[in-house]
Amino acid sequence: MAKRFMYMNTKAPYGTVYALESLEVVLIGAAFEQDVSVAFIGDGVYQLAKGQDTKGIGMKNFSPTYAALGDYDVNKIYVEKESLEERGLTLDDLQHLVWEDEDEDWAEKDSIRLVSRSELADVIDDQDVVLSF
Amino acid sequence: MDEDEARRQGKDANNIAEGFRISGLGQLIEAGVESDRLVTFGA
Repeated sequence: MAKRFMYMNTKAPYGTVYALESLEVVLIGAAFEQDVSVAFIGDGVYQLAKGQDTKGIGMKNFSPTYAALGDYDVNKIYVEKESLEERGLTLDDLQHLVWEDEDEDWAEKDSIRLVSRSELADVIDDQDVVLSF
Repeated sequence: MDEDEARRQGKDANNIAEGFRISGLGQLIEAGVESDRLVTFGA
């Protein structure tokens, strides 16, 4: 039986390698056909920010890769509401991530679920494995 | 550096503690699938 895996992203996208490494683990993990969720809390919410420009820091902007998650059947993406609010952000500041539902004639659906801190705690509670980055 | 890697690099010794193994991301996920508990350190 598939296990519930959650990848918890807590850090800003650049400055450390955590965000990129996490994304890599998520994409590799997707091949294992488990029940995958990805969460973004704290500065981790910046990983999904729209319009990232990394020219000034000489790093590759890897944020377009998040749009591929839906193709890997990674379509439960939790963003913590309080973390967004604390940073003066709203969902509109984040990439619009979607997936196509095979069971509904490939209807395009939103992947991002905006959840409160306490709702997210319940989701975490339901996981078998939580990997934090 | 484990024994295999030491050999590959032409070194005459390795320095990985007993009971540890150097492996890849796939093994990390596999460990999560197969184990009752997976504990990670550092993040």
